[in-house]
Amino acid sequence: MDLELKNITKKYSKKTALSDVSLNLKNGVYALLGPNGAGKTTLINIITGLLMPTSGTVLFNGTAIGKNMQEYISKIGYLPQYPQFYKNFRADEFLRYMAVMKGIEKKRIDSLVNELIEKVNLTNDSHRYIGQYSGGMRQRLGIAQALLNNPEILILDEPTAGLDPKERIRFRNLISQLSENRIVILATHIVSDVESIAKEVILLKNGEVLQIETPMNLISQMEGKVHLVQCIPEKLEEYMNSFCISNASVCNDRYLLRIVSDNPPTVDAEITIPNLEDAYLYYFGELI
Amino acid sequence: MIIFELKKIWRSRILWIFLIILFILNVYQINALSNLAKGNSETFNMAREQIYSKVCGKWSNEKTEFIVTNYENAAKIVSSGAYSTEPDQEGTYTGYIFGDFSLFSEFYDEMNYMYNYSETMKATLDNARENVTFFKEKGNKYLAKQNEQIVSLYQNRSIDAYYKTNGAYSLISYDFSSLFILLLCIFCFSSIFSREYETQMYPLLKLTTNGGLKLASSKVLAALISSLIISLIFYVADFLCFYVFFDINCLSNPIYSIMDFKNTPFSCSIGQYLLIMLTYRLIGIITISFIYLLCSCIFSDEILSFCACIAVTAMLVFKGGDFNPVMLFTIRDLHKKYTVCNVFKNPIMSHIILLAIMIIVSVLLCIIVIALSQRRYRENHSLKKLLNNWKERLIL
Repeated sequence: MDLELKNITKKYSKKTALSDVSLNLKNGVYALLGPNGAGKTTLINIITGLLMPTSGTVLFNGTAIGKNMQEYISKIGYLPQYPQFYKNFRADEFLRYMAVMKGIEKKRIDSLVNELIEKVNLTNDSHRYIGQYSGGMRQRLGIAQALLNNPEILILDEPTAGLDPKERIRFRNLISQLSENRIVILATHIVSDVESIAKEVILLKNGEVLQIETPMNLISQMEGKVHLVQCIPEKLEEYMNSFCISNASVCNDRYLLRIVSDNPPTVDAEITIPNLEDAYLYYFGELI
Repeated sequence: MIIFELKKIWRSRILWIFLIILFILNVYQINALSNLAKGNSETFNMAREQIYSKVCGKWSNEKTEFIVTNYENAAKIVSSGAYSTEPDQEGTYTGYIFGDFSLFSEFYDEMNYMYNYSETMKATLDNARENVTFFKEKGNKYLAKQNEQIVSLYQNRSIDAYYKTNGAYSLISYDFSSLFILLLCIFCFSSIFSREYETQMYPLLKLTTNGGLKLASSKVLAALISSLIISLIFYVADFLCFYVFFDINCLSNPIYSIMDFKNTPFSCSIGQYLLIMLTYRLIGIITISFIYLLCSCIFSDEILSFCACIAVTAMLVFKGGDFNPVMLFTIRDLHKKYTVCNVFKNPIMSHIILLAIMIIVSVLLCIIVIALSQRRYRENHSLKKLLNNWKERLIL
């Protein structure tokens, strides 16, 4: 299984959403990390064929996706950002609807729907209306519908937005199970969701790919760039305006700041073990 | 798939509330109309019913003499001026002679019209036959054909029985329910396509094997079925309400027994005409529903789509022009008279041309809607986003 993006560029009248993006994806989980407006959703729409690139091609198993679009989309499972679905449909009804839409054989639908409902742990709530569902339940339902056609490419756009920690752990475990024989693309800006399950992390900023690395490599690149600094409360604002701070905690009437910087911010700064969140901040420079 | 699309339309609590409220309003309106038609005087209404029960049905000398005699007597007294205005006079049906005169005038005019209809038509037919010969001699084929058509349409007409037709005419002229149907159709169909953008379902559906032509066709069929259901609910209710409140019993009489339909080209019964009118109205509803579907297809925001549908409806109702689907709701005006258009030197009835145009327009709209919905990607142009864009442009 091989999904290749060759020199993908997408331009709108005044803006370049994607600039010369090239990727080669095989089985496993790929995290597409970037802030809002980086081009993640645009890239996903191009991968799914919903959007035409200005230039470049998307190849699946060596064939351009445009050559046989119907066959290609039958291999895709997609969960959009903030799915609402149909509030007046029951969950099992909705899955049956999506199964019909995906052209699944009638005789298989019932058993498939029941199997997926059980997989995403919605068995007790399958007869409730989607309008009564919490955000987490809707996300799980969304994953279930994405899996109906047993897709070879599973694309999840911000799948953990609005989920509580327990549901996010459950989700991570589910994705790990699913990634065995699939290409899973997870677009997110929540780093902790992908740190332990992603095979590779694709850092996307202003439409350009900054890095494609394993989480371990990204973290090791941050060696010596993450510092712990203590400061008095009066100096906090000054530090916040001057440095990229990944965490600030209170410690004995002082603040313990975790600063991401190429050089030590102060003389008494201590180097500490970096994590993926530090790498995200380093590349995207977002201040809290 | 059509069942699911129907569920999307009909699983709306607000729709059902709206439907019930409008249905009740409609029945209330018809009841109010019937009370208005009856007037305030119970004595007058009882007298009317009493006389009607004596004279309704197939013609007989007895019935016609009864009406003519009483009418002439009442007319004589009223014209002489020597009558009492006191109520409850003996020897009167309504309680006073002037009331009797009004009542018998009503019956006299109606019965006179119906009884002498054949004779009235005879003069028209004789003229038409003469015209046929005349125009044929002059070599004017079109006018000759037109007059031949008049002869074939209007010959052998007679009204064999007397029944009151005001109830049936009120039903034919009743347009209130059409407005309610349009409102419900706007509510149901303005969001058929735009809903998919609002719920983020659009990309999901586009990434399915049946998310293209099959989905669009299912939506169109579901809209068609829903428009027919809504229309039939109201039009059947109209018929039943009018039948009960106005006590209609003239359905077997020819349509031209209604005075306003004196020159109608139709020779069917009133009951059959109601079905014809229903067909025209249904085609009008279907055409307008396709316009609403088009709005839903163009605008990915439900509110914008809804406003566009309201605007289009207002435009069609108030400034529609000659060939617009709203005319099919008031098609009775075209059906009341003989109007034709010259189509390749053949006289074709205007109402048939209008119907054909609307059917063609419906088919074209259907094709356009399905074609438009096949676009692969659409940004969700929500109202908020559009307003923000315009605001930014203004500031710049």
